[in-house]
Amino acid sequence: MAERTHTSRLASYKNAGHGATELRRKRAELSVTLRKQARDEQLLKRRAMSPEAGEVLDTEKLMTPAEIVQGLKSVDLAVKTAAARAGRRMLSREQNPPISVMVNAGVIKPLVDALDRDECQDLQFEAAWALTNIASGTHEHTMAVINGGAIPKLVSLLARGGVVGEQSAWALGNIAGDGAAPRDAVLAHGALPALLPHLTPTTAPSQLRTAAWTYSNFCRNKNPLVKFELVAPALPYVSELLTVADQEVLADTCWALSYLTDGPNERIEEVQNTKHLLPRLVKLLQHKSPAVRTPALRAVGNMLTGSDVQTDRCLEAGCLDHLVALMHCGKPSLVKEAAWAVSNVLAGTQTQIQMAVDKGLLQHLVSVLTTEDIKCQKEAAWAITNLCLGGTPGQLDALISAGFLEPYCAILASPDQRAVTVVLDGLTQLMKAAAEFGQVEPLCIKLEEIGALDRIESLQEHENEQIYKKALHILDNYFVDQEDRNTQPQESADVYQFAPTEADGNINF
Amino acid sequence: MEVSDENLATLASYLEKTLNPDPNIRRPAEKFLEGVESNQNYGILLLHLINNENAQLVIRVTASITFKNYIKRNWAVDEDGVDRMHASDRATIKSLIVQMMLKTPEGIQRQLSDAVSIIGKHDFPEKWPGLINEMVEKFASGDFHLINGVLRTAHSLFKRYRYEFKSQKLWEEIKHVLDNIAKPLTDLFVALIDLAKKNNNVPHALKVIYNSLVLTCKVFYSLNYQDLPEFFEDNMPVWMPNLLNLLQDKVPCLETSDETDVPGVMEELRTEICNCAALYALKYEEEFSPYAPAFVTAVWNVLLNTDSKLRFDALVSNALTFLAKVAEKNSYKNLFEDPATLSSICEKVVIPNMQLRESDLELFEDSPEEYVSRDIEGSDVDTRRRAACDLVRTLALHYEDKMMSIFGQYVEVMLQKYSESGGTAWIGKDTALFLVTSLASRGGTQAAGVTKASPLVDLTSFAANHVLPELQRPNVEELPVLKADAIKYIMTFRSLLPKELIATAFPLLIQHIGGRGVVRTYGACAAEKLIAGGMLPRAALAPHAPALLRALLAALAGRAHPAAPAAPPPPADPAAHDEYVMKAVLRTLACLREDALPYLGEALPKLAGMLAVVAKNPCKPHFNHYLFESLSLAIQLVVKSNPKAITAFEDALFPIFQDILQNDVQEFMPYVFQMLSLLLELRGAGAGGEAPELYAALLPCLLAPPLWERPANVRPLVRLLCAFVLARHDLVLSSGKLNAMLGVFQKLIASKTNDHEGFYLIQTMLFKFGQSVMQQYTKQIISLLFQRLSSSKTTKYVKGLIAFMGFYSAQFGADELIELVDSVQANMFALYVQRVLVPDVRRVSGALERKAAAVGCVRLLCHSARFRADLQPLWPAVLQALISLFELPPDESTLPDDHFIEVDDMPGYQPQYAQLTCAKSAADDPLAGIDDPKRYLAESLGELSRAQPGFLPPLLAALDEPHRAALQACLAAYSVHVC
Repeated sequence: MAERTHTSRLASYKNAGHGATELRRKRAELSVTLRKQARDEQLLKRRAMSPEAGEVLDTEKLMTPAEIVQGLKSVDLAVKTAAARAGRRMLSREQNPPISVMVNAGVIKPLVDALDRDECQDLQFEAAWALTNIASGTHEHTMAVINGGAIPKLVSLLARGGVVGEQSAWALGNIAGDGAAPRDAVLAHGALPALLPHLTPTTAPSQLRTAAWTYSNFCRNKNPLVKFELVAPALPYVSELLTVADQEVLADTCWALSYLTDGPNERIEEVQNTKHLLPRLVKLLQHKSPAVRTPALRAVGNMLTGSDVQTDRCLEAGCLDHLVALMHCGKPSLVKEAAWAVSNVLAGTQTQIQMAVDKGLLQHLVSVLTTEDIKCQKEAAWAITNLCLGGTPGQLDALISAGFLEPYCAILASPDQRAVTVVLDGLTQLMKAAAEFGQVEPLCIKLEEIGALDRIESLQEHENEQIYKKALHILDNYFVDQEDRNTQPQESADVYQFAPTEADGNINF
Repeated sequence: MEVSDENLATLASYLEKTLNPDPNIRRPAEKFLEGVESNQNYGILLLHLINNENAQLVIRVTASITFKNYIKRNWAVDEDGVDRMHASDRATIKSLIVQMMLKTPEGIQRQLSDAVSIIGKHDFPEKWPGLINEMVEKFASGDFHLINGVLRTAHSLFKRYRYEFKSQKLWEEIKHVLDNIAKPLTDLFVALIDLAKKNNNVPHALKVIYNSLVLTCKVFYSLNYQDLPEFFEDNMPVWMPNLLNLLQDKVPCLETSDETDVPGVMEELRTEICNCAALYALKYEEEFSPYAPAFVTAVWNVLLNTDSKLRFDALVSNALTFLAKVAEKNSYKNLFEDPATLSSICEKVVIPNMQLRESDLELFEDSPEEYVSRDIEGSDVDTRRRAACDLVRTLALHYEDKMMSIFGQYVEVMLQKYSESGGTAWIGKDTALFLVTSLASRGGTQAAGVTKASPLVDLTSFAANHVLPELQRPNVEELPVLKADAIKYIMTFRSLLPKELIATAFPLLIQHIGGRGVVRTYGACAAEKLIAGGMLPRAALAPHAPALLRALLAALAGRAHPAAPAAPPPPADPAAHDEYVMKAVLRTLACLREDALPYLGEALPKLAGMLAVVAKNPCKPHFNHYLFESLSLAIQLVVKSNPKAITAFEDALFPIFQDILQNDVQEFMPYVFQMLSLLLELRGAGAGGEAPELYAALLPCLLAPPLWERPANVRPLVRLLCAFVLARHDLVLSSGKLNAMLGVFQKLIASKTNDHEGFYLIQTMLFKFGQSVMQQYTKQIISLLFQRLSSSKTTKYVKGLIAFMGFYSAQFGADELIELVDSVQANMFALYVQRVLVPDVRRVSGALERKAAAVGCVRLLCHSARFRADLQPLWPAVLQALISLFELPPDESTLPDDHFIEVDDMPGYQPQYAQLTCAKSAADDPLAGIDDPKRYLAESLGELSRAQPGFLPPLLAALDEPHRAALQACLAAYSVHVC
């Protein structure tokens, strides 16, 4: 597999100058992770805490889950509402909310029924809140809410607006956040048209925050991606939201864009073609809050994986200056993301590469290579390898004068095998380019001087077959010691007497 | 094959035979085992034998190695889905092997562990579902022998996580493993530490527990390699402080006795912990940073508490590496910045580990060669000195000013002590020199030594004040270590030291070639490198030549000092065959060229004598190589100035060569063939008249099949045969060996590896013998060439064939070639043009080959009647291909048959062919009459156009636009007009 990528990358090298879209790396995340969810990722589900949490009234303190269910089934609206409130409070408890207990006690059906009671907004509000918090639980909890028939009712409450509408948006956000299938179910019930009126800068701040977050969950999750036409109508609204001052709204809006652009180029195209959107997004790359910069950078980074034209638009919007700043922001997750974005610029046309070179980007990459942590170094190494694969001789010269070779080769000793191969690929390419200009010898000497030859030699003993083969390839082709060149053994055939069998007319080649 | 006592006994007896040194017994046994490998139960039988505690241990170990190799060859189902193992065998092996891992002796366990790794790679976890739970259950058994076995199995299974690429499949597997084992492993770790505390007075229990801890750390390392697992991140507060304690704990009853050089369990544990800490520090910087200072201190303390004993080597080197890696990171910089820290690093860590040890000194005295190879060639990757050196370099990069002033003070102190002591404190000066070298060096190459140095070190004045004085002492035997250091200093910084200093040093170096052991070798090596690096050009070297050559030859003869009376060297004196000295001889001759002639009279008999000696026991390949090179060079130089001298060489060398050939000294044959070629070629070029009959006797031997079976012989033998053809073709014909020579050609052409040699041979024969001799064979030759083309069409072969056909038509005529090819099979030439020549001519590489291909094309286009008649439809395509050959870069893509060339499966040891640079022949160009193929094309087209006006224009019109433009440019360049 990796081999194939390699050949296709080399193949594209031959078309250097025509853009090399295959070099661009889409955000390739495995569906399995070993690490904790990163702190700067957006939350999939959120529980709504009670503002008065902790001050539980005496009368409600005594209600058990069974009593709550009992109360919810009462015909007396006041009792019903009180029970709903008690249930909601219980589910809003900070520590260990008893979601499973409540679900098992049968709370869902009466809560969903309560959503229909238009005559009592209080009850609807408490029920929607309680359901919000149940849906914030495990996948099973969310499924229980869905199977209880909550989605259509929540959608129609959302359409009516007000506090109940806001709470319904939150509940729908939690449901959609559970995964691709629940998300599609929510959208199938027309949640987006219902949400749209809330997605304007004039909406009350708390409502707008909820709406923006809910919308981002509508766009989120892969396998499969959301049907684009179900969420795309919001794009003009999204473009407007990028102008508000509220950081939370900005962050969630950018997250939504980051999900929308993490897919086929057609999606990137529509996002970019939304009026005013791109320049506003690019501007947010310099927002003071990292919570906004992070998703904005993800969205822009995704766009840079698109076609040459799409990359050009980002460049025209001035993303390079911001990327440079981000590479020096000191926050490893942003530096890494910025370096990844740069790697995709350098995977582009020679004109695009030249823009990056003119901005002095190479020096910044070298400094990332020299000082940042290993994840950032790896992205920077990718960037340089891409340049080696697609750059003009002049651009390679610029790279060399930026002093990249030493920190780049230091990565050969890194404990990340992929990073090691990336550097070996880059070096192979550099050697090839050097060969065309008769520069192999000085390059070899340089590599030896900075200790890279030692490292490549020790990689010959690497347990990873691809790595040792690549190392061997470089050594065999460019570092052959004349005195030790061996001939290769032969197959044995025992014919010594010159006696060819007569050709029988079947020679075919 | 039943699992029966009888079969077990048979198996055991064959295994025993595979250990027999006699190939007549060993080989058949190996063949037998290979033959029964595919039988059901074979693997099971091996396992039973391995498990049989009554069997001899050596047989059990052999069985385990055989088993591992069997698994290696057969477990994987190959690409075509061929399964070489029985399903029931697979299941049985998996169920037996884990149990066996728990109780077999270590030598066997190691093999089984490899087998488990291989099986695990393919089967785990899907096809080995119960394994992980089976292992986890044993954690709770409380039986530590069992637990250790399980941990070892786990280590074999998981260690590949350290080097495989991230992938969905791999990470799913790791996730599965982590879900099942992360917590039990952590619990086990805590329990082990607890148990260790409870048993702190029970040495044998502690030993087992600490062994478990070592393995636990290895497994921990593997599981943490790809990424930081959530569970372990959450449990860093459990792991890190405990690892830290273990690193610092002293367990007196487990500390290894000072008598052994092998690391004990405590050293192993600390080494593993350093590895884990280094992994976290490098990969999980942010998460590890709270623990980093404590680890740095602890590792530091480990270093302070270990002395120079050999058993600490791995630990010290890992600990130093940890510090070097941490010091590189910006986020940990503050840990090192304090001058007090740097000062104590220098005093307590760096200097002690740079100091020459007892064992180094023994090596210096007793095995100078090994000492030199470690020191000069850097085969000291894991030594303490190297690790200390790396640490110094890292620190010097990041804290250059501070480092230099602090470390410089220590250097001063050591040098001062030395001078005050009147020489007895020489060991301090040795350390000082080493320290200065590693402080100053910023990069360098084998060829030039250090090429970049810190600006803060004044290399020249240091050399003048502290280095040269050591070499200026009258007694070359005094304080030999410092002499070696001084020479090494000059060698190391040769590219950076001023010319005058080198000039002063050079005679001193020559003097020390008269020393002993390491000093002598260093002296020779330094002289060689200075000459090779051009620091001493021919004119500057010439005045020193007599002294230098005399010293080198004396050293080769094993004499301590050229002035001392010549005592006959003991024949087995290893120092007598010092490769560095021999290389210095070669380098000196190569630099002096004709200026060396006056000394060769004395040198040559000595070199020849040496050849006779080493031929009896060729054990030093480099020495031998330089010896042959020196001889070849001497022959070239002498014969050039005095052609008649060749006879003297032949007289001196032939008896030695004869011995080598008769005694079948395989290592030397390729060299002998090259030197014979050289002599014969010199004869052919007129030296000393016609080659004498000595050569005639040789020819039949050269065609003996066994010689050609050895890969290393093929190339030099082909060259020698060609030399015969060129210099004494009469001999070839009169001896009746023509047919056998063609047989060799046939053999070569059948081999994908050697086909190019076949082309070379047949081309030489055709060229020299001409049609009169060769005509009767040409049809068969062509037939062979095309049969090979149809059986395997590799790139190399296609290139050779196109060049050969080009040569043939240039030599014997295009239409003759066409007719010949078509006589083998009707219309085959047209097929060749369409399927080989046109599509592949751009693949041809090599100046002569490309020229032959081009000339061949011109012949077809302009000199072939057939190409103006029935083959005319091919005309534009050939021209277009030819223009592509001229204008476009070579085609380096591969052909489908290429990947079948597998060359590294030759069994056992094979002597290798090494080209002698000084015996190379100038490549002969059979088409020397044509120097520019483009001009040849242009002019030939011009002639054709004059001879047949109107023929060309329509054909040229059929060319693609870019090709036509290129052709026009070519025609214009040679002022040729076509009509």
